[in-house]
Amino acid sequence: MITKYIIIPLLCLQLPAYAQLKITNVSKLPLPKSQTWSNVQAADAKSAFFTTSDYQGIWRYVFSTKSLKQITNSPRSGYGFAVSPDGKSIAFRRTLNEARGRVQEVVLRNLSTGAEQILSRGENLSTPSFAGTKVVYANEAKVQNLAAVTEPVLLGIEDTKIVLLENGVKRLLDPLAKAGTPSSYIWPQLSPDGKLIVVTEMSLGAFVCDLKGNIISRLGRRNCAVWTRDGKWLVYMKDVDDGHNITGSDLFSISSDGKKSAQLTRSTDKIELYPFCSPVEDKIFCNTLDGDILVMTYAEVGR
Amino acid sequence: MRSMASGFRVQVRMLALAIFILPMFVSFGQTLNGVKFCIDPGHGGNNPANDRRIELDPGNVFWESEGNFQKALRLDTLLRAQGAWVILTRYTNSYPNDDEPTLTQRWQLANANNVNWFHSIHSNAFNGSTNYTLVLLKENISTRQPAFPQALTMSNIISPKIKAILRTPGNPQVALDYTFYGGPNGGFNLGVLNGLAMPGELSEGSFHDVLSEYRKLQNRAYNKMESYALRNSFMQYWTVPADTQGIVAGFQTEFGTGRALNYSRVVLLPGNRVYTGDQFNNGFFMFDQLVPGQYQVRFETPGYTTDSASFTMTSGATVFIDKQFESFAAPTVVSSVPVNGDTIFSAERSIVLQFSKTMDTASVRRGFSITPNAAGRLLWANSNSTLTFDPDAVLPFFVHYTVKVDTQARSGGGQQIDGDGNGVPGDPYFLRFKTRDVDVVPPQIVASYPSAGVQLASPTSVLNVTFDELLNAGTVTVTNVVIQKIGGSLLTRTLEYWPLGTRSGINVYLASPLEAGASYRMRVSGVTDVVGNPIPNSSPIIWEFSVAPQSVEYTTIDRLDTSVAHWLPPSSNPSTIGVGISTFQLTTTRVVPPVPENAGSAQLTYSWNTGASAWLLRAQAVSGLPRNVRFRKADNILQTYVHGNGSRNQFRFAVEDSLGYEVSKWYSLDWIGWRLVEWDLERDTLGSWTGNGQLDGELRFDSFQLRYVLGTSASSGQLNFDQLQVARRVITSVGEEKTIPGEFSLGQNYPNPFNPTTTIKFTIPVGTGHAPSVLKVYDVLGKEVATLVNEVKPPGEYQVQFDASRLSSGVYLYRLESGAMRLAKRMVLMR
Repeated sequence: MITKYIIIPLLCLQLPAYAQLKITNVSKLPLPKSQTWSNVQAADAKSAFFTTSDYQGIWRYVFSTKSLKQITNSPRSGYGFAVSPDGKSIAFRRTLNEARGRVQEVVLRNLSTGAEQILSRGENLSTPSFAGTKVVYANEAKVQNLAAVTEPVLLGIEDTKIVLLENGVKRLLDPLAKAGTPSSYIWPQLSPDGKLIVVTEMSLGAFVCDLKGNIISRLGRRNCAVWTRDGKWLVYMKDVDDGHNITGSDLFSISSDGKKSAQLTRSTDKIELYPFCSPVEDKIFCNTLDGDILVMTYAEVGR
Repeated sequence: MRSMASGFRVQVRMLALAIFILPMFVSFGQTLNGVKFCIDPGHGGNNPANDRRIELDPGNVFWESEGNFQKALRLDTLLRAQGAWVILTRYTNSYPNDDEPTLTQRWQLANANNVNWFHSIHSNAFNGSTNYTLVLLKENISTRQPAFPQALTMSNIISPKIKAILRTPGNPQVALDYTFYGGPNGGFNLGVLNGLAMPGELSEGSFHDVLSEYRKLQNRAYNKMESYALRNSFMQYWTVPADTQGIVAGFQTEFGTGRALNYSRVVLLPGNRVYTGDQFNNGFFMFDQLVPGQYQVRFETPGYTTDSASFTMTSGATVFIDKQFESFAAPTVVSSVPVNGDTIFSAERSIVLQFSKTMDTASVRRGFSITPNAAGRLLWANSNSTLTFDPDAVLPFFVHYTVKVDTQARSGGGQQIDGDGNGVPGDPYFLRFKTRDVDVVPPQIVASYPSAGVQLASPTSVLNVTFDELLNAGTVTVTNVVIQKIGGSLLTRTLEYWPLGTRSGINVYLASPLEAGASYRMRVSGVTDVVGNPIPNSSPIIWEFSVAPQSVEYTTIDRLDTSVAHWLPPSSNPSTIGVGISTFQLTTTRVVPPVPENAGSAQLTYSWNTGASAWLLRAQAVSGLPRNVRFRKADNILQTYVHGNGSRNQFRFAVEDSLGYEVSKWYSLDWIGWRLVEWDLERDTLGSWTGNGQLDGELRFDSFQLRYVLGTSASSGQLNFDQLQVARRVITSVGEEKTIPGEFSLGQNYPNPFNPTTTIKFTIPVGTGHAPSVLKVYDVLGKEVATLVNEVKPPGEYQVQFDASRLSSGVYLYRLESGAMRLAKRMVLMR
């Protein structure tokens, strides 16, 4: 069971005249206060995987038993890890020496046995992704297991551009390329059907494009936008700061065409950050600035 | 022989090649090859919500983001020249739609590109005088250790390097962010470092709210110096051999006045490289990329004496050459005491002339005269630019005087005086004034709080009396300043005397607040001015006032005790107009004594641009607790203590309602010292600003506002604000010996937020029988953390103290139960 979370306002009170997302329940994972929990990056109906604010390890929380287990304490492994489609393995990148002569490793770990396999070591490794059971990653921009990629895979960002793997080919996408102005992309995510990408350009905001980089819709300032599991909506955070400190953030949703949006949270005492949509349930995970993990159930209303 | 010759030629060619290539490798080698940096120019877009605007020289606006951006661009170039891979979080400072990168975007860019290092460039602000180099790094709040130990190593390299190259006066510092910002008492991780997956730090190179630094930071060469310091730090960290090329730099100022030279011209020899200074009053010059050797700089700024300096440049050194120059401009008198034409000059005062530059004292002495003749001494100060004539005796009353500085007066550099200041030297200076008669008038009360006949909306324990002149502090005694409850006894009190310029105020601090529904009489007598004129005991000044019958409960909006981080500096607020300088910062040296646990107050320092056509200063709360307290107009009074300065500037409150912004009436700042300023939201007439003139729906505090009134207000001043709160009238019967409540109630805790103790009031009405009254505290998860009451209580009013010393910061609920009745409220523990 998840502890009932009683402070965050739960409901949007006014129903709209058109379809939009609405939060119907909010809970907080009963995690120890010894860590500042952050960034849920994988989840299924049974568990969620997340890290801490400085990415020192990966933890798994099992809903049914309310148990929390540290998967690895590898340094900086919490940034950009991936769980295999069959749920049996996790791949992550760790950084063993952050000082002069950085050493990074891509590691594949069996979630049942804990057995680890170091797949690569180098100074500049990408975060890993899965293509089926194969781990794909790049070492100094050279992609490993590229031949195993049949369905589209996003391999993060390389030299500020989007790395798309498709049919054994690597392509760098720069959809908003303009002569003389460097484009810098962050937060890329592939839609559930693998046909669209949502990504943010530092100056120009978020947008949706196809796999060739053709712009489908411009969304403006929508940080950390992620797809809902049906691919109809994007959930994002609207964070504000005073230049030094994050002073507020709520979650919002917007249709992928950018035409319908709704505010999902309206809390005054919590700062919700980094949404992650469950691929198997109508749930959104996020963390708060002060280190809680929230789980929200959503529904589409007004249809 | 042939083979030997051939071999020799090969060796010569290789040697020649080596001689050619080696210096190129040393000079242009890819020494940070493979190292990836993300450089963050802090802030951006001149957006007052998250940028810092400062205008210490009227009309010359500096945004912190611009200085940060210039430094980052040059650092980018310098690092790339060393072979590094560099990305900036922004490549422009133009964001017309205020869509500059958020803090989360900045570190995400670093993470997404898997850089080795992140660095955020900033400048700092505090109180307008503090200036040092500070480097902050992320702290693990659980362990209280650096989140990235390598960042501490780097920070310890960066901080002294920036200090050395900028010559910031204070000791260079390195700090963990959470601890630096208060640790358990409100500390936080810097947002731009909070999500980094690699080491990084944030440098505050210097303080842009210090006038001289504000001027320097507008110089691009000066900013480049900091870029060099950062590059050199990174090179040292990665054990890259230090740059062999050096820098010569310095400041050029005017002899005597210390004013910085604008549009300066400096020539470097050999090479005839020319540096042209800017118009920002910094006097800075700099030449970089100097290989070791002998050099000379020649200073050739038009209008000033020329000079030169030779120096030896050693490998990678920074040579500083600061110079002073004599202006060719003729000296003038730029100000005087008294002002020319004064007809009420106090006869006992000295005469002061402020020259535009350093003077030759002997020639001025020869040229100085006062008519009618008066004996006295000529005293010099400020590098012989300030002359004081100190008469041996009080000047006669009602006499017209003329002070003359004749044409033999010369500047230190020999320029003849320009008496009328028209740019043409050779004419005498005249100052004409008239002395006034002796002071025989006792001090007059010009403002009091409470004033005669008023009914205070809420009880207070801080009273104020303001006088038209300075007092003899020895006569400010509790014997001479008396307050008595009508029909009752004298109130226990302490006094505090506030001299300010030519006027003064007295604060009366009561040991206990005034009582709701009571009337009081105040009496002042025996107080004298500085020459002994008393308010006679035979004719004391007496007035009466009363307090409204309702008691009140308080909700704190901002204690203004430990931080003003949630407040936007007035200089950064787009509503601020007609303001010269303004700072809004915390001080611990001036507080309202009766406020419990009071540790500080917010101090507003300001000056007005009197040549402007409109004036408004807005000190706005933009985030955090000050914005989280919500209230309605019914029964509520918005209050804050204001330490007035008698400036006759005007003050008002602003709140945000459901439709916009509404304001109180203007309050003239005619008092000196503390007083409670109140806006009765239900009963007072509203002022006019951007709103519709009505308080609609739920309210939040917005801002303190100040304005200048042409011809009435002072052009500068300093105010303090303390304990911003809402007082809510509660319905109680006053005047009975004991109230038997008919209603089950649970009051809002006070103070709230609190640390670590707070008081909770509740009432148990008639009719609860023998049911126990239970008051418990719960955390947000519903877990009980304290039981404050658990017993049968007879009907009555109660209060209990809650000590949360062992609890962490956060929101807590407290619930009162008695029989079938149940009430709950929430409170905030803020450490």
